[in-house]
Amino acid sequence: MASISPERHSPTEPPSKDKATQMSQKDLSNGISSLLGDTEYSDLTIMCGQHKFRVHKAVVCPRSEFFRTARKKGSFKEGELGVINLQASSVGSSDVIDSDDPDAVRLMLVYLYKQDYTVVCMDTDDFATGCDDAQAIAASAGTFNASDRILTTHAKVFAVAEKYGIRSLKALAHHYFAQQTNPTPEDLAEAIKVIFTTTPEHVRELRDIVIKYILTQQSPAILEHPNIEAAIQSVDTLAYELLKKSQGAGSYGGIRSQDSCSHICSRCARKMSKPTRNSCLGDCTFCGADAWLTFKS
Amino acid sequence: MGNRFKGLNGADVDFETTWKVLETAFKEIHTKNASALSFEELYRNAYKIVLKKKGEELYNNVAQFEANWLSGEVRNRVVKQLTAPLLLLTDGTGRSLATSAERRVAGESFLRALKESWEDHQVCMGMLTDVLMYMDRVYCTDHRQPSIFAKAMGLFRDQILRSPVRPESPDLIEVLTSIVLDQIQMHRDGERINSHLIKSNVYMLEGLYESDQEVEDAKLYLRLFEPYFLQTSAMFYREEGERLLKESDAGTYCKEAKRRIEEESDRCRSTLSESTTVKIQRVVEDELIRHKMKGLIEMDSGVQYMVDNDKLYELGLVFELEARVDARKTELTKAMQKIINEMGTEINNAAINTSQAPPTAPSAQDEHGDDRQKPGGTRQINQQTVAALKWVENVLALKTRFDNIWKTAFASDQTVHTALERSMGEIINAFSRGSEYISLFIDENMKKGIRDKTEAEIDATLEQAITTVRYLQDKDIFETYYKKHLCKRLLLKKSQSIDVEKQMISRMKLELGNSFTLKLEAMFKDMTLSEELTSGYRKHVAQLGDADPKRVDLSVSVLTSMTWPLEAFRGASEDEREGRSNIIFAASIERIKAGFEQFYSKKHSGRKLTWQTNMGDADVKAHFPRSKNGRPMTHDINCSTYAMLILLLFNSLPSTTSLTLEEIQAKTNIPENDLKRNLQSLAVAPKTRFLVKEPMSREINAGDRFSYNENFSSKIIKIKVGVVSAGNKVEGDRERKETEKKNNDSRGFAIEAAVVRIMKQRKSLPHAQLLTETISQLSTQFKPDVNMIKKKIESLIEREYLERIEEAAVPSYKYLA
Repeated sequence: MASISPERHSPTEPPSKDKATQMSQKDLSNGISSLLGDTEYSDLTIMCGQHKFRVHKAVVCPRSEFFRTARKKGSFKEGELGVINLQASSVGSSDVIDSDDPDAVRLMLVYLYKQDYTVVCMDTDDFATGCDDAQAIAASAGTFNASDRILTTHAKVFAVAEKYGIRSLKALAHHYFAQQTNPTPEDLAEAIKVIFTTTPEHVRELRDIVIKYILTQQSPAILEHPNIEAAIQSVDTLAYELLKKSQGAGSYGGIRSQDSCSHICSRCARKMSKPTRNSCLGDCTFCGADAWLTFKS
Repeated sequence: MGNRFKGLNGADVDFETTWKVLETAFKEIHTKNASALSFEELYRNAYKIVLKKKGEELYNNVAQFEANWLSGEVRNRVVKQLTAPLLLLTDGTGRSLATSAERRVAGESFLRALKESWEDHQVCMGMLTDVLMYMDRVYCTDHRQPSIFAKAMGLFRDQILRSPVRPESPDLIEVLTSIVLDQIQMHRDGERINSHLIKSNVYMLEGLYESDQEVEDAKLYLRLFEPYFLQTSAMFYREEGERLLKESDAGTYCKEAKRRIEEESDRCRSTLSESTTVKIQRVVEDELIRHKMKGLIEMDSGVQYMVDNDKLYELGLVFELEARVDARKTELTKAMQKIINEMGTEINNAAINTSQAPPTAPSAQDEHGDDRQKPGGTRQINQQTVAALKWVENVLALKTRFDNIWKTAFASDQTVHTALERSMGEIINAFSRGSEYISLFIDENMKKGIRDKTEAEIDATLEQAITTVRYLQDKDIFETYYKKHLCKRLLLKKSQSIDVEKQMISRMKLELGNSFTLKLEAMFKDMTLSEELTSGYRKHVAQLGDADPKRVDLSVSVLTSMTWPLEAFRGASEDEREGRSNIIFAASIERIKAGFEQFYSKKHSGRKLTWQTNMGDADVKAHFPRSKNGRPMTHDINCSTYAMLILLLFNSLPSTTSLTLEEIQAKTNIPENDLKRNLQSLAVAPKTRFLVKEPMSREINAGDRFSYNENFSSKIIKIKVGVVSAGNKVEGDRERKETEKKNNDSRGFAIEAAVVRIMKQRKSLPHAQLLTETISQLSTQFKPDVNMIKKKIESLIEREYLERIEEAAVPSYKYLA
């Protein structure tokens, strides 16, 4: 046949709106990712311990109120200098109550550019080129065996996300944390300390996972591990929470429905005199302790 | 210090130490030394405190810190500015103790200090909020506390504004209010003030709330300032309004009121809050307009004066003012209607007076009477015409005047227009002769007025005429008069231009509808047909070959009997109608009459011609032996048909022979009244005295004798004999009654027709609805009398067009086919 089939000449189908949107979103996120480590457009420096991150206000500030406020002109030092110095905890330490783990900060910044972060393969650091002090990176990568401390690292990322107000990163860290089903006792012990000391009590996500994990272990070996034992002892509320939980008297998320519960002070064993409005029970009016046993009435 | 707290526990945090760090920093912030502080460090410390569940302590400490700072540092700074000129302000006696300049300067210092304190507080609290971000997010949200910023704003309110200046004295905010009000008063009195300063303080009051709940309508501005502002403003404007009413004229008042309203709006924009604009305008409007409008309008220099003196700008101001407070402009409209009514009544009364005034000595403007020596009655009719023209002109002038006011001063407002139009209509319809006068006005213009006018002017005149017609309620009466006048114009060829006549008709058609002009148009058609007929007859006569030079020429108008108001010509009683048909014509005339009748019946068989001898006129050539300085001369006399018949009688008589009145009547059979009037024209009027009357007197009496006037002399060749009865002027009383009666009859028919039309369509209808529909159907023609409609319904029932529906709940009728 001489006739040409119409299909051969039909114009290509125009892309759907969804597809076009997808493409542009991909382009956008690629564009932002490509800025990671860029120094040409960098207009803000974030320091943490030995690390010095050259970042972009346009990327960082919209995602975090902390950074947005810190670089405001005309109020504080940071706004004038264009440098934000985050106090770093000593390397490898889990005592981060007053300071930030530089690696967690680094992962947070990576996340702001890439919408994701990975704990392993620290050597291929994206910030390597952006680091003024390549040694510091090398040092941290060397002493910090990330694959050993995956759970802890996620907990730390979760903590900085909470502190600097990045909700989506909190969610992501929460997700990764929950995926770690079989941590080493060392890692778990470390993570427990991080969780219970660097996030406020009302932030339940990781706390609940840990408590549930410990309680659902069939063998008691985990409680006997010296690191775990030390960790649980160092966090005084944790023992009670575990106890409550194991008796089935509490819930992960704190006691919400106050009406059907009674609270006994865990120190002086007196009953709470008046019900409180919120989940926060406050201190015992008799002895000042703030730990309670809750019973369903 | 982190390492010291290995056994981490909420209580272990050295709260006091951390708080000290923050407190020191806050002091630095408040003293504007923040640039050396590290945000990160402060944030971290605050975060740590919250992390250790000390959020509440932190919150309370910050609040306490701020309270101390405000009451210690800030309040003193502000209170220091309350210098002597301001101190007595609040008790109301201060005004006289310090000059306004002193008060203003002192007030500005105070306002500036307060403004700066407030702005500093805002900036500092902004920074504190930044530092305490995490506390706000976690502690305040969870514990339903206001943010620390809101809390601190409340502290400012309590520590600064709501605390007494010194013990036993009013709160600072009261002082602030009275200072601002004092400054505003200065501004109203024409002084310059720093409105920016006041505005800043107003911002503050707008940013603060009565309680920490921050309910929108509990702003301090709304609660503690605005009410006083409105209250003092109301007092001020009440007094000012009264003073202005006393001291100035209405125009000035309006200008002042307008200026004040604008000034207050400006003030809201520049000095206070835009949200007050509407409220203060309302206050000023209440005090200067709403409560004073009546007094303002009734002032000596009020609306009446403005109208009298064409103060359009001032009227515009009055309008503008009232429009602000009343969409219907009730007071102004009322005043204007009253004025129109008074002026209209004056016009109406003037017309009545003119028409009833006793005949005066020949007036200078007597343009109608140059060739007629009329008896008294005629003169009075003439006076009526003058009154009519004057009336229409006055009404039009009134209308033009108020239209102009409406357009220029009242912004062509629709509501006002309706009211003014209603008043115009009322005064026109209040005048019983309105319809007649308007028709007469048109008549006069058609005959004379438009003679030298351009097309545009004619157009304007026609438009004016239509304008007045538009107001008429009883258009049917107008139609009657118009027909009558038109009839005379057409038959007596008095119209200046048939074209203009037709234009007028088409305008009426547009304005009043087809049915209104139907008969009028038929009249024009008759005239055209008659012209054709006349020329056709001439041709016919010429073909007959009868070239008798003495043959009388004839021109005929054949009028359809129902179309033409022929009684217009009959200024006499009923019995004359019978006499008319038996007029005895001279032989030469009779021949022509018969000739035409023959010609006509050949053309249109079956039609009956009735000769309206009372309406015709004739051109007669008459010889008088001594007319021109004693020498003979022939005159062309134009006279009525009756006069011609009388004159022809003397043709066949020796010049000395005389005829008595009775003889003339017997020979012509002219109705007595017409005969007397024609004889008056021929034998009494000096310029047309072709006959000699014996004895010589004004009145024609039985037994008077008439003979050919051999001694007639006149320099004029063409002489027109005026005929009294042809005067197409205002009706006499008797005519009027007749017109009214006829009109009522035709209204009766119109009503019956309408009722039948409606019933035929509806089949059955309740009484009330039938009335309404009938009235609305007829409203274009006239305003039907309800009693008349009822009577006509009765009569239709009697004649079995309708019947009552007995069992209906409301009285109803049924149409009987």
